[in-house]
Amino acid sequence: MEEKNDFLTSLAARFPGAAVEKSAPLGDEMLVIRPDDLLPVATELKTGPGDFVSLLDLTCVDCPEKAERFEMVYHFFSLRNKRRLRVKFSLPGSDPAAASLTGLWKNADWLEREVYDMFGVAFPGHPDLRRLFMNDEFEGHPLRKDYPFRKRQPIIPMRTP
Amino acid sequence: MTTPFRIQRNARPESLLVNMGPSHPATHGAVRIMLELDGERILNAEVEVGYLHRAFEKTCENRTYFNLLIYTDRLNYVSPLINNHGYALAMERLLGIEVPERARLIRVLLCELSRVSDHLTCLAAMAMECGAFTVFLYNMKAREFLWDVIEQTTGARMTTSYIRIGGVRADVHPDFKMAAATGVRETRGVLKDVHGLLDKNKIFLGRTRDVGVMTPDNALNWGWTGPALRSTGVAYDVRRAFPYGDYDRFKFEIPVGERGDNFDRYMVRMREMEQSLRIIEQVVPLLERTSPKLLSDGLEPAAAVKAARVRRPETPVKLSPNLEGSDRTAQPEILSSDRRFVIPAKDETYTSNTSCPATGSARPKATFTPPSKEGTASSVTISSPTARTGHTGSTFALPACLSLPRSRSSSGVA
Repeated sequence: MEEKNDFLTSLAARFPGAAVEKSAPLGDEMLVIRPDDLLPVATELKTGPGDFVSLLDLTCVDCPEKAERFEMVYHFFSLRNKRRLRVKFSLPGSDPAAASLTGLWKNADWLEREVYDMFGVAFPGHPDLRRLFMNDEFEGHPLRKDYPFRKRQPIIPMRTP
Repeated sequence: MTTPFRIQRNARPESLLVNMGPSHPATHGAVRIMLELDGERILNAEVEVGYLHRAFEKTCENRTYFNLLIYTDRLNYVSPLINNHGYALAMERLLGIEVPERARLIRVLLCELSRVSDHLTCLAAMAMECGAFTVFLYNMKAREFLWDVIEQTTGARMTTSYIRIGGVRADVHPDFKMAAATGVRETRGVLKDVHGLLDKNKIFLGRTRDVGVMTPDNALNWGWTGPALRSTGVAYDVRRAFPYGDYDRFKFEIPVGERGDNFDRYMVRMREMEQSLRIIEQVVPLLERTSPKLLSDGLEPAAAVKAARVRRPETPVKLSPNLEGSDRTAQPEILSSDRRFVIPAKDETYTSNTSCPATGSARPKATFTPPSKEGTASSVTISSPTARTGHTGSTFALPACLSLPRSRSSSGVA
């Protein structure tokens, strides 16, 4: 356990602005980084001693009250160390963008497309950034908190009697 | 009109592009697959999955933490209890709740029953796709025995909502032990039959052996988990690696495959069902020796909730839709003292005002004023251009699910 913590703290020390947070009752370790550091940190996580072979989840949280509106959340898993790690950073509300991890983990492809579709976060470096669930003509991003709950965008107009 | 798909852009000039779906008899649900073919060989495929997107997240954002439990049933209707469990575990971790031992054991028991029924369904469909309809019927038969056990205790076959935050809803049925024993016995018999029907079946082997091979490295890189990952030879089981509930108390093996092909995925699931039945047999005798407590003591309810138990509160209850604590009023009609509100016109519910070109601006906007007892100006404006007069002016009590989210000024007028 000591050794594990050492690895994370040394990783955090190499990137200014990165911090290890351990919320004990909530389990998994958490690393908060700056958005620009995502790609180097992720590369280090995958190839370094952490050996995080899997990207379990990649998602986004919309907090409209905050100045840094979008919070990106990454869940990594290390098979060898039987360890899970959560990496977080915040993105501004206008033109949010995060580096694409498709070069490191293949399932980042669809996960990033989902976040792009649902939250409107761009992923420069993604090979095929299109909407994943909604149709191409869809306007807006449905999981943003300001998208109306009951708004519908039918492709074929509703029939009127 | 639409941007071409990646598969269209990268297609080889001599190959054939075929569109499969979104409504194809071989797909269990609406999914569109675009295939690049060379004769009968699939060179490339691109899947479009959005047809079944149900926006669970958006729905749940607009519910309370307790209310959205029933939505977890619908995530996978074959094993709703496992989904209940996952959600309950997350909430318990956030709240720091300790679940009583008996509830933990009942959870393990019902989750393993669900796991077996889920694997049975999966393999039933797989065998049926390969032409083995008998296996499908056998598996469905075994599933019914297991669902009898689940129904007896939870009161429902599919939408159970039985595992609650902090415990389980009720104790197991008095006849549970006998029903579980029958279910386990019948399932064992079916598994034996299915092994006999498929394991050395030339047609089945021809369609599964060395088909869809995945290497362990690729599987991990793609984020695979569960039986699919284990079929590639990686002995990772979340019940063993990060034990939740009471899984660390039971003996079970982690079956793994060797080649990572379709046959290994079949075999891993078959072996895993045997292990699940083993766990069930270990839990049942333990259950008798536990204290009857089923639900943890829970937290002190908020002042608003307490007050609502005595009398209908005057001010709408504030709900916190996310963990950020950004309070906003959700569903003010539920507990508000104002019982009058208008069901929105159907068109308003299913379409938006802006994106319906066929009906746009054809009709005037309608303003409805519900009758007000005290003569106060309590008007509800529904700005749908297509609102029909049949819906106008009438006042209804609940259901709140049909009510239109509206501004604070128009609600809560006593």
